[in-house]
Amino acid sequence: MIQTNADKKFSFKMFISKYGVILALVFVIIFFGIATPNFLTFDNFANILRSTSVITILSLGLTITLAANAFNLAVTGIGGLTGALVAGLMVWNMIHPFVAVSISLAVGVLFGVAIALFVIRFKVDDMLASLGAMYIAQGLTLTYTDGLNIYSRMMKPAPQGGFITAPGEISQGFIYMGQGMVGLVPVPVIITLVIVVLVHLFLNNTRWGRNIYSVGANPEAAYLAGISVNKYKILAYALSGLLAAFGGDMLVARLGSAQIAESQSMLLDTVAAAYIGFSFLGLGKPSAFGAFVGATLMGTITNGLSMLGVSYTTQDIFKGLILLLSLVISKISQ
Amino acid sequence: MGSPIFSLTTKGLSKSFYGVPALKKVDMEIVGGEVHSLVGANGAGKSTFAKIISGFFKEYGGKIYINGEEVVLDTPHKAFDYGISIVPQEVDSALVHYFTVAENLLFSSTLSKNKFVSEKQFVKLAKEKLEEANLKLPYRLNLMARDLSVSQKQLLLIYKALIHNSRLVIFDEPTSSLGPKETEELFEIIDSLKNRGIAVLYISHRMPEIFAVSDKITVLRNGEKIGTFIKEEVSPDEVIKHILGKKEIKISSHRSLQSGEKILEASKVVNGKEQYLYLKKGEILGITGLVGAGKTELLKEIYTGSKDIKIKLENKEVKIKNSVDAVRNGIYFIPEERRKEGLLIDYDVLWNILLPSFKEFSSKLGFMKHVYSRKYALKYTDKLRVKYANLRQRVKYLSGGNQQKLIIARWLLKNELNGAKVIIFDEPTVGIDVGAKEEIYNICREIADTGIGIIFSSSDIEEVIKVADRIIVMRDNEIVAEIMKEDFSEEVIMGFATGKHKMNTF
Repeated sequence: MIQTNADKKFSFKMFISKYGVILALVFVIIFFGIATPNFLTFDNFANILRSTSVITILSLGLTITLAANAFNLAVTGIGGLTGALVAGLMVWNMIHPFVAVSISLAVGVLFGVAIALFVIRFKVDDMLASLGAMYIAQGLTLTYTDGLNIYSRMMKPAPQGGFITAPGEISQGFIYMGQGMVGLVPVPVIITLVIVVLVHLFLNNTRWGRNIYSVGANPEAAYLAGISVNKYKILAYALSGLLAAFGGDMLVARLGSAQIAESQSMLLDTVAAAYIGFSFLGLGKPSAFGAFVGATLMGTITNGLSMLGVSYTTQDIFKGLILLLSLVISKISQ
Repeated sequence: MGSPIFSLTTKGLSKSFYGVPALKKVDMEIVGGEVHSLVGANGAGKSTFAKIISGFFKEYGGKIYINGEEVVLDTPHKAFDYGISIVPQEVDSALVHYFTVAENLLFSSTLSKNKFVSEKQFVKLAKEKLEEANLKLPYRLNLMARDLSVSQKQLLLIYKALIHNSRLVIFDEPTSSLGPKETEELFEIIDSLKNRGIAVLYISHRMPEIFAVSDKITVLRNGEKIGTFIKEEVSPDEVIKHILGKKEIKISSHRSLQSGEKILEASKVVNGKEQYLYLKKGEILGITGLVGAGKTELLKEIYTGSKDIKIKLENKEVKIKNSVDAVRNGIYFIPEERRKEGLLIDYDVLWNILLPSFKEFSSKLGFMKHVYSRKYALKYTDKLRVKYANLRQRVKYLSGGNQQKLIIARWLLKNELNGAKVIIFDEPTVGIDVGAKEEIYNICREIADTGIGIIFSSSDIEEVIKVADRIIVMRDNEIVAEIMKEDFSEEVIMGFATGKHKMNTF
């Protein structure tokens, strides 16, 4: 058996592509643990996970479309829209939180399906179509909210002069979802972890998830094997819209109000998390747990850099670099 | 006298991938003015050998000598500078599509060191170089490479080799996309290369070609050289025996024709004429014709639906709008391009074999039943003797023949669950060695014996005659003849395929 240097070099590359992401996370934790006090505390970690819960859910939405070799860039836009919707329905229309959430989820699904149908019918590029959809969603959000954040019993200028006050409030039960605690564990963390597991099981262990992966890996071969490529693309986008909507709702629950600019600021982290997820365990394909680790990595970096006093704008430079790096690693692992 | 005769010698040439040896200590000599064929089964090491001596690999075991001097061929550029050119099986991989013919002729050569060369200058330079070498291209130099046919592209690569004074030209399966006339022309070119004193290494599966064109034949088996033979001193049967080792080839016997009902009928109106084909239960219908005659297009129309085509299954008209409908109705399709249309190349054997059957192997909630599905996967990979490391191995590491068998296994598996009526094979033995070809023919016969109708499409007339019960010939997207078993003849079929006879035998 002839083993050349080429074989040995390869296993180093394979090692990085398999464990690179986890190593990065460990490295980052150690780094910040040394660089700042109070980083390595249970409270801080709970904080990190709580703050990354929304990004995790949004990046799961993106990940599902990535599995189908599509790209729903509009997840943050949809999240913003549905967040405003769920808050507005509760605050202005006094609608029960369950109903409001259901409506917001339905809107998310519809948005996703609309993008998918558009892409299928006109055979245009996924990413660019969803870019357009993102701007439409943002526009709709601004129109719906008149540019104002929505919070309980908010006041806004009335058309005939003076102010009107909203009759309703964002229900406590709803807010519990984003701010409650079960013992020492924040509720959003529990909910997010459950969603991560569900998405993972869906993609890897159900036939629909497998069909989505297959359609993404080689649509031609999947089609000739009797799989309806269009049907699964629509499904992927629908689920993506659903998760994006839920992420938006979760954000409102966390903040106690609908902050219309918030979700868009999460775009960078969301995309980076999804691509970091690609190279998780060297799978070379989009993965739910990978996206979770990716989101956590991004959140840890944000948290650590903030503790070090680095301004938000400078943080963006780091994060941009990390996104580029994760793209390279995801390519290697493929 | 003229320059000394070129010789390339390898001693102990070896190469492994991930610890698995592909080539084991091969000693070989290739001499100028000779056509030396390299033959062997899939995975025997032919392509690996060709790749090594054309500089494709940075590392290899053993030594290479050119004209007595040791050389290290670790980059394609070095090999090219030593005078070694290769016309690969996928010609496109050696060309730049959006460059012109002239630019491709001069591409990557020291002739075009100048950075700011205009297109006109390229054409002028290329013309000069061609004249120096006494060559003329039968098409314009300013055509884009992507607009050329396969044989024109091959010619481009050959001429490129000549104007750069190549002393050894390697041909890797050059005729797989060529028709008979183009193949003849290629042989004439190879002859003229011989006359110029150039060494030719010819890699192929096709016995008739090998015996038509070679002076010497070297057989590889499992990475080892079995022997080098002078063409006149060996027979095709002996060569095949060397390729296969101890395995015996089963001579196919005539199958008893299944009389009976039509399981599939397809009709379509083209240019006012009705195109009609039918398939009986348990019958193997061969479809043949030259490359580009429209066989694949017709079959894909049956499988994926089109508004012009009417399909009847077991005498009932069915609406087939897409592949999903086809599969649901029991029509299965094994495509021509394994990697592009058949397999998910980065996924494992298990995933690929279950691809059309996820629904059948999942519970009501949609969860995959792992144990259950593995059982079936193992059963069918065993049945078709697919060689693989384990179910989790990515299919990209399987040889061409095994990849093909895996795709067939996939549909046989589905057949057990759902019952197939018709299975369509589109060029199923392209790039597959003799032994595996025979296996596939037998598999087709076995499937047909269970009552399933088979459509076997191939541009290899000999092969179709071997396998089919009845043959349809296509030419220029039309069905031009239907030939019964008693009347099978290569000349007659070729006549219809090329348009010599203009009558139908309906």
